[in-house]
Amino acid sequence: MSENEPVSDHVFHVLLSLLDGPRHGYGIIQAVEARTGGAFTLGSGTLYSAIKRMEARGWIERVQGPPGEDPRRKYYGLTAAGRGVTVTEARRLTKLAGYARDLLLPELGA
Amino acid sequence: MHRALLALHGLLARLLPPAFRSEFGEELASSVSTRVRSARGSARSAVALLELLDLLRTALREWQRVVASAVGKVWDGTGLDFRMACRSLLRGWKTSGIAIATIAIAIGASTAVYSVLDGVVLRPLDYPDADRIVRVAIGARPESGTTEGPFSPRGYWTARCWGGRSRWVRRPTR
Repeated sequence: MSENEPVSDHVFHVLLSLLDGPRHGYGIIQAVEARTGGAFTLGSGTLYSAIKRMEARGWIERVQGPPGEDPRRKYYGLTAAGRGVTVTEARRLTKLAGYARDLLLPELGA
Repeated sequence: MHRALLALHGLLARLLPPAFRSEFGEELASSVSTRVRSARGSARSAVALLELLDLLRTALREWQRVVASAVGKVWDGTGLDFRMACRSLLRGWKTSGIAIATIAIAIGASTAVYSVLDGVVLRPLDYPDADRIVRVAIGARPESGTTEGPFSPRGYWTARCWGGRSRWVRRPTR
Protein backbone atom coordinates (compact mmCIF):
# COMPACT_ATOMS: atom_id res chain seq x y z
CA MET A 1 0.00 0.00 0.00
CA SER A 2 2.63 2.58 -1.03
CA GLU A 3 1.63 5.79 -2.74
CA ASN A 4 2.34 4.38 -6.21
CA GLU A 5 0.48 1.11 -5.73
CA PRO A 6 -3.24 0.65 -6.28
CA VAL A 7 -5.12 0.85 -2.98
CA SER A 8 -7.61 -1.80 -1.88
CA ASP A 9 -11.35 -1.22 -2.27
CA HIS A 10 -12.04 -0.65 1.42
CA VAL A 11 -9.12 1.79 1.80
CA PHE A 12 -10.36 3.73 -1.24
CA HIS A 13 -13.86 3.84 0.22
CA VAL A 14 -12.50 5.20 3.51
CA LEU A 15 -10.54 7.87 1.63
CA LEU A 16 -13.64 8.84 -0.37
CA SER A 17 -15.72 9.07 2.81
CA LEU A 18 -13.32 11.59 4.33
CA LEU A 19 -13.21 13.89 1.27
CA ASP A 20 -16.05 16.05 2.57
CA GLY A 21 -14.73 16.31 6.13
CA PRO A 22 -13.61 14.36 9.19
CA ARG A 23 -15.71 11.46 10.47
CA HIS A 24 -15.56 8.95 13.29
CA GLY A 25 -15.29 5.20 12.62
CA TYR A 26 -18.99 4.42 12.59
CA GLY A 27 -19.60 7.57 10.53
CA ILE A 28 -17.24 6.21 7.85
CA ILE A 29 -19.14 2.89 7.80
CA GLN A 30 -22.44 4.75 7.41
CA ALA A 31 -21.04 6.98 4.64
CA VAL A 32 -19.78 3.97 2.66
CA GLU A 33 -23.12 2.18 2.98
CA ALA A 34 -25.07 5.29 2.00
CA ARG A 35 -22.84 6.00 -1.03
CA THR A 36 -22.97 2.45 -2.39
CA GLY A 37 -26.60 1.82 -1.45
CA GLY A 38 -25.50 -1.04 0.81
CA ALA A 39 -23.66 -2.82 -2.02
CA PHE A 40 -20.37 -2.38 -0.16
CA THR A 41 -20.27 -2.85 3.59
CA LEU A 42 -17.28 -2.28 5.78
CA GLY A 43 -16.77 -4.43 8.89
CA SER A 44 -15.59 -2.53 11.97
CA GLY A 45 -12.46 -4.69 12.29
CA THR A 46 -11.55 -4.15 8.64
CA LEU A 47 -12.16 -0.41 9.04
CA TYR A 48 -9.88 0.04 12.06
CA SER A 49 -7.22 -2.19 10.51
CA ALA A 50 -7.28 0.09 7.44
CA ILE A 51 -7.31 3.23 9.63
CA LYS A 52 -4.23 1.99 11.47
CA ARG A 53 -2.25 1.52 8.25
CA MET A 54 -3.50 4.72 6.64
CA GLU A 55 -2.58 6.69 9.76
CA ALA A 56 0.90 5.13 9.74
CA ARG A 57 1.34 6.22 6.11
CA GLY A 58 0.21 9.73 6.87
CA TRP A 59 -2.89 9.56 4.68
CA ILE A 60 -5.29 10.31 7.53
CA GLU A 61 -4.91 11.88 10.97
CA ARG A 62 -6.87 12.21 14.19
CA VAL A 63 -8.63 15.53 14.43
CA GLN A 64 -10.80 17.34 16.93
CA GLY A 65 -14.48 16.33 16.74
CA PRO A 66 -17.31 18.88 16.52
CA PRO A 67 -18.19 20.71 19.74
CA GLY A 68 -20.56 18.82 22.01
CA GLU A 69 -19.55 15.44 20.56
CA ASP A 70 -18.63 12.56 22.90
CA PRO A 71 -14.86 13.08 23.49
CA ARG A 72 -14.31 9.30 23.46
CA ARG A 73 -15.28 9.26 19.77
CA LYS A 74 -12.20 9.75 17.65
CA TYR A 75 -12.49 11.66 14.42
CA TYR A 76 -10.30 11.05 11.42
CA GLY A 77 -9.52 13.56 8.68
CA LEU A 78 -7.77 13.37 5.34
CA THR A 79 -4.23 14.78 5.09
CA ALA A 80 -2.81 16.43 1.95
CA ALA A 81 -0.98 13.16 1.19
CA GLY A 82 -4.23 11.22 1.62
CA ARG A 83 -6.05 13.56 -0.74
CA GLY A 84 -3.22 13.11 -3.26
CA VAL A 85 -3.49 9.32 -3.05
CA THR A 86 -7.28 9.53 -3.52
CA VAL A 87 -6.93 11.66 -6.65
CA THR A 88 -4.18 9.43 -8.09
CA GLU A 89 -6.25 6.30 -7.47
CA ALA A 90 -9.38 7.91 -8.93
CA ARG A 91 -7.41 8.83 -12.08
CA ARG A 92 -6.04 5.28 -12.35
CA LEU A 93 -9.50 3.74 -11.99
CA THR A 94 -11.02 6.19 -14.48
CA LYS A 95 -8.34 5.32 -17.02
CA LEU A 96 -8.86 1.61 -16.40
CA ALA A 97 -12.62 1.95 -16.75
CA GLY A 98 -12.03 3.93 -19.98
CA TYR A 99 -10.07 1.04 -21.51
CA ALA A 100 -12.84 -1.40 -20.55
CA ARG A 101 -15.54 0.93 -21.92
CA ASP A 102 -13.74 1.27 -25.28
CA LEU A 103 -13.44 -2.50 -25.64
CA LEU A 104 -16.86 -3.44 -24.30
CA LEU A 105 -18.92 -0.59 -25.76
CA PRO A 106 -21.53 -2.83 -27.50
CA GLU A 107 -21.99 -5.02 -24.43
CA LEU A 108 -22.17 -2.08 -22.05
CA GLY A 109 -24.78 -0.46 -24.30
CA ALA A 110 -23.57 3.05 -23.57
CA MET B 1 -29.51 -13.66 19.80
CA HIS B 2 -27.69 -10.46 18.82
CA ARG B 3 -26.91 -9.79 22.48
CA ALA B 4 -25.18 -13.16 22.76
CA LEU B 5 -23.25 -12.46 19.57
CA LEU B 6 -22.21 -9.04 20.90
CA ALA B 7 -21.01 -10.66 24.13
CA LEU B 8 -19.06 -13.21 22.09
CA HIS B 9 -17.58 -10.37 20.02
CA GLY B 10 -16.38 -8.70 23.22
CA LEU B 11 -14.79 -11.96 24.32
CA LEU B 12 -13.15 -12.73 20.97
CA ALA B 13 -11.77 -9.18 20.72
CA ARG B 14 -9.06 -10.50 23.04
CA LEU B 15 -7.70 -12.38 20.04
CA LEU B 16 -6.56 -9.09 18.50
CA PRO B 17 -2.87 -8.22 19.01
CA PRO B 18 -2.45 -6.23 22.28
CA ALA B 19 -1.16 -3.07 20.55
CA PHE B 20 -4.12 -3.00 18.15
CA ARG B 21 -6.56 -3.73 20.99
CA SER B 22 -5.25 -0.95 23.20
CA GLU B 23 -5.35 1.56 20.33
CA PHE B 24 -8.68 0.68 18.69
CA GLY B 25 -10.39 -1.86 21.00
CA GLU B 26 -12.75 0.63 22.62
CA GLU B 27 -13.69 2.35 19.35
CA LEU B 28 -14.18 -1.02 17.67
CA ALA B 29 -16.54 -2.26 20.39
CA SER B 30 -18.48 1.03 20.31
CA SER B 31 -18.79 0.92 16.52
CA VAL B 32 -20.00 -2.70 16.52
CA SER B 33 -22.49 -2.04 19.28
CA THR B 34 -23.91 1.08 17.57
CA ARG B 35 -24.11 -0.68 14.23
CA VAL B 36 -25.92 -3.72 15.61
CA ARG B 37 -28.37 -1.62 17.64
CA SER B 38 -29.16 0.63 14.69
CA ALA B 39 -30.16 -2.39 12.55
CA ARG B 40 -33.83 -3.39 12.53
CA GLY B 41 -35.37 -6.58 13.88
CA SER B 42 -33.79 -9.81 12.71
CA ALA B 43 -31.14 -7.90 10.75
CA ARG B 44 -29.44 -7.23 14.09
CA SER B 45 -28.32 -10.83 14.45
CA ALA B 46 -27.09 -10.91 10.85
CA VAL B 47 -25.06 -7.71 11.37
CA ALA B 48 -23.65 -9.04 14.67
CA LEU B 49 -22.63 -12.29 12.95
CA LEU B 50 -20.94 -10.42 10.09
CA GLU B 51 -19.07 -8.25 12.61
CA LEU B 52 -17.97 -11.38 14.46
CA LEU B 53 -16.58 -12.94 11.27
CA ASP B 54 -14.92 -9.65 10.38
CA LEU B 55 -13.31 -9.54 13.82
CA LEU B 56 -11.82 -13.03 13.35
CA ARG B 57 -10.51 -12.08 9.91
CA THR B 58 -9.03 -8.86 11.28
CA ALA B 59 -7.36 -10.70 14.20
CA LEU B 60 -5.76 -13.15 11.77
CA ARG B 61 -4.57 -10.38 9.45
CA GLU B 62 -3.20 -8.23 12.26
CA TRP B 63 -1.27 -11.14 13.78
CA GLN B 64 0.13 -11.95 10.33
CA ARG B 65 1.39 -8.35 10.13
CA VAL B 66 2.90 -8.54 13.63
CA VAL B 67 4.76 -11.78 12.75
CA ALA B 68 5.85 -10.49 9.33
CA SER B 69 7.15 -7.29 10.90
CA ALA B 70 9.08 -9.22 13.59
CA VAL B 71 10.60 -11.59 11.02
CA GLY B 72 11.47 -8.64 8.78
CA LYS B 73 13.25 -6.86 11.63
CA VAL B 74 15.33 -9.95 12.50
CA TRP B 75 16.22 -10.50 8.85
CA ASP B 76 17.13 -6.83 8.34
CA GLY B 77 19.46 -7.00 11.36
CA THR B 78 21.17 -10.19 10.14
CA GLY B 79 21.57 -8.83 6.62
CA LEU B 80 23.10 -5.63 7.99
CA ASP B 81 25.60 -7.59 10.12
CA PHE B 82 26.56 -9.72 7.10
CA ARG B 83 27.09 -6.67 4.89
CA MET B 84 29.21 -4.96 7.56
CA ALA B 85 31.32 -8.11 8.02
CA CYS B 86 31.95 -8.34 4.25
CA ARG B 87 32.91 -4.66 4.06
CA SER B 88 35.36 -4.85 6.96
CA LEU B 89 36.92 -8.02 5.50
CA LEU B 90 37.43 -6.28 2.16
CA ARG B 91 38.74 -3.08 3.76
CA GLY B 92 41.58 -4.85 5.61
CA TRP B 93 42.20 -7.53 3.00
CA LYS B 94 45.80 -8.29 4.13
CA THR B 95 44.78 -9.01 7.71
CA SER B 96 41.72 -10.91 6.48
CA GLY B 97 43.90 -12.98 4.11
CA ILE B 98 46.31 -13.93 6.93
CA ALA B 99 43.39 -14.82 9.22
CA ILE B 100 41.67 -16.95 6.55
CA ALA B 101 44.98 -18.70 5.63
CA THR B 102 45.68 -19.44 9.33
CA ILE B 103 42.21 -20.93 9.76
CA ALA B 104 42.65 -23.01 6.56
CA ILE B 105 46.06 -24.37 7.69
CA ALA B 106 44.70 -25.15 11.15
CA ILE B 107 41.73 -27.03 9.70
CA GLY B 108 44.02 -28.96 7.31
CA ALA B 109 46.48 -29.89 10.10
CA SER B 110 43.69 -30.99 12.46
CA THR B 111 42.17 -33.14 9.71
CA ALA B 112 45.54 -34.78 8.92
CA VAL B 113 46.33 -35.53 12.57
CA TYR B 114 42.88 -36.91 13.22
CA SER B 115 43.03 -39.08 10.05
CA VAL B 116 46.28 -40.71 11.27
CA LEU B 117 44.92 -41.15 14.81
CA ASP B 118 41.74 -42.66 13.46
CA GLY B 119 43.58 -45.04 11.11
CA VAL B 120 46.06 -46.23 13.76
CA VAL B 121 44.20 -46.14 17.05
CA LEU B 122 40.52 -45.29 16.90
CA ARG B 123 39.07 -47.34 14.03
CA PRO B 124 38.21 -50.84 15.24
CA LEU B 125 40.11 -53.77 13.77
CA ASP B 126 38.43 -55.47 10.84
CA TYR B 127 37.58 -58.64 12.76
CA PRO B 128 34.31 -59.88 14.13
CA ASP B 129 33.65 -58.58 17.67
CA ALA B 130 36.68 -56.29 17.37
CA ASP B 131 35.71 -54.54 20.59
CA ARG B 132 36.23 -57.83 22.52
CA ILE B 133 39.82 -58.38 21.37
CA VAL B 134 42.24 -58.12 24.31
CA ARG B 135 45.41 -59.66 22.80
CA VAL B 136 46.80 -59.71 19.26
CA ALA B 137 49.68 -62.04 18.36
CA ILE B 138 51.44 -63.30 15.27
CA GLY B 139 52.41 -66.97 15.13
CA ALA B 140 52.69 -69.98 12.87
CA ARG B 141 49.73 -71.95 11.56
CA PRO B 142 47.45 -73.18 14.32
CA GLU B 143 47.89 -76.84 13.36
CA SER B 144 51.70 -76.65 13.60
CA GLY B 145 51.43 -76.16 17.35
CA THR B 146 54.26 -73.63 17.50
CA THR B 147 54.21 -70.78 19.93
CA GLU B 148 53.48 -67.21 19.14
CA GLY B 149 56.23 -65.03 17.75
CA PRO B 150 57.28 -61.49 18.61
CA PHE B 151 54.91 -58.77 17.65
CA SER B 152 56.28 -55.44 16.45
CA PRO B 153 54.35 -52.26 15.72
CA ARG B 154 54.85 -53.10 12.07
CA GLY B 155 53.24 -56.50 12.68
CA TYR B 156 50.24 -54.79 14.28
CA TRP B 157 49.91 -52.60 11.20
CA THR B 158 50.08 -55.69 8.93
CA ALA B 159 47.44 -57.45 10.99
CA ARG B 160 45.25 -54.38 10.81
CA CYS B 161 45.68 -54.16 7.04
CA TRP B 162 44.94 -57.84 6.50
CA GLY B 163 41.85 -57.63 8.53
CA GLY B 164 39.58 -60.63 8.33
CA ARG B 165 40.36 -61.19 4.66
CA SER B 166 43.49 -63.33 4.96
CA ARG B 167 43.20 -67.08 5.38
CA TRP B 168 46.31 -66.89 7.55
CA VAL B 169 44.50 -64.98 10.21
CA ARG B 170 43.00 -67.03 12.98
CA ARG B 171 39.70 -65.85 14.16
CA PRO B 172 39.66 -64.76 17.76
CA THR B 173 38.73 -67.38 20.30
CA ARG B 174 35.75 -66.57 22.42
